Amino acid sequence: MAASTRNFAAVVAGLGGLGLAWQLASKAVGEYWVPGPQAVALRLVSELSSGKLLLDVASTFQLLLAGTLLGAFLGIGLACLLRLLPRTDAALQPFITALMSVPKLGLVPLLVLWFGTGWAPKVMLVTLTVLFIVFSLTYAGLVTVNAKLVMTARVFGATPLQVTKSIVLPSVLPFVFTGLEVALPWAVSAALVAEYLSAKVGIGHAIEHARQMSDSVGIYQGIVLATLLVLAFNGVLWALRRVCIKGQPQEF
Amino acid sequence: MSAHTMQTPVLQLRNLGIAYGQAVSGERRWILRNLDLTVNDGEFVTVMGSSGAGKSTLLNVVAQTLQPSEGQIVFRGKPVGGADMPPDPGSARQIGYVTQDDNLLPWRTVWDNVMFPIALARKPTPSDIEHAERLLEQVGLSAWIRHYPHQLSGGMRKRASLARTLAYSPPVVLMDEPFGALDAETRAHLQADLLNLWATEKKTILFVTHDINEAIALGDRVVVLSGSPGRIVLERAFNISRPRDPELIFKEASFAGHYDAIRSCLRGAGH
Repeated sequence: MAASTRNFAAVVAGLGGLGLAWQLASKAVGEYWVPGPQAVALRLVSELSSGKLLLDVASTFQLLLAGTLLGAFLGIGLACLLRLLPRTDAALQPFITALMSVPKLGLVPLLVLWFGTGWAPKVMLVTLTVLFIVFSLTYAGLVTVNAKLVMTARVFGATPLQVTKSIVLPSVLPFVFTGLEVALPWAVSAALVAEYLSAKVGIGHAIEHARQMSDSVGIYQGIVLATLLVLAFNGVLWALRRVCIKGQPQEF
Repeated sequence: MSAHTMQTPVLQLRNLGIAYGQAVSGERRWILRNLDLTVNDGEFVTVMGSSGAGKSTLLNVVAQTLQPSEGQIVFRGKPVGGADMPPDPGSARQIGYVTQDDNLLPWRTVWDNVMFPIALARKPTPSDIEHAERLLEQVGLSAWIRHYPHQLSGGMRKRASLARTLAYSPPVVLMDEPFGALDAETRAHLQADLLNLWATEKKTILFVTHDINEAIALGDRVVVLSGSPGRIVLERAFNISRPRDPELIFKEASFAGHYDAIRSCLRGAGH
């Protein structure tokens, strides 16, 4: 209890320090270049009451959720498939490595060219970004499943399905969660970039629109919103991890 | 209680052999070969052998986590495994295996680990639960059932692992140096606990050890493996009355004779 109170105090102190530094920076270089926390907070409140903020956040949130779920699903599926089919695995590994090396954000113009400016290219970009990260970690998790635990369960008479459920799944879950945690900021970045280039709504679109208007407060507001979105997703992941993963020392 | 009152064979190894490498290319290296052994119902057999003589390999073959290259494993008169049969680890839950590592599932509490083998086959019955509770009581873990393995000491994890294998009641239990990595005092406690459990649970045990004291203190009989490929070079019954105190086994009149016989056998062929 005392430790968690102290941790909480540390978080508050950190946030306070950041706010102070932000305020000082704003004073030092001027409101236009670095708008202060109050200006950004006021803008957040006014856009919240006008309803625009919720529309933008909801749009980016949906894009992020759809892309992350799809990417995670495909990444986990691909990793399982390749582990089950060693020959296919050997044949596909070089292509997967090559595909993983392609900088996903560089694909945006191509995706827009192919699929237009609707939902498809944006979801696809987020999906691709999440897919390869989740795939890599899930695959690593599957490779490192403790063979001794599998054998122990088999000596106890476990069927392949029971081995999967009681040994493989709990072994791999921490890797999947780590993959999602690593992928999350990248997914948000991908969503923002996709929205810069082709959107009529969303946080990325709001940032780009503010830039065109030389509205620095608007840009800051968008960055704050995107960061809050990452933090919110992280919180959900953290809670899910606590529920799903038991028995290992918690690092938090 | 002693093996000499019941002579029903429970486990028989017939001409068992295991080799690595391909038969066709003539590069087969035999680890164990021409191994015959009969273990009677309720008997406690200890297995010794110089390092590399194939003690652990023997248990892996009997547990069917390794497929033998020739020969048969017979349980109560019926072949359950062998070179010409598909591997069936644990022989349909008839043969339990306590390995060197405790192999507890780190994401399950002690209680859920102990119930794991039972739950694989059926919904645990009240008598299953009572049995598991009694075993945990006997190994001194009653206060720890809600803890996870990483919260326990090495000795406690060994106890949990032992209770887990006994809880689903396989008639035969294989043990591979289960107490090897523990300090002397913890080991002595666990040896005493094991003898108590063996008496109450009426198991047939095949116990690998590299400690001559332990082999004599626990076993009705010792089997010594040696050579390359490994084979049985000595079988010796102890005829020491039970209950025994493993820590004071050296005070038995026949102890020195058994000790010397095993040691000279290990030395003679080992080095």
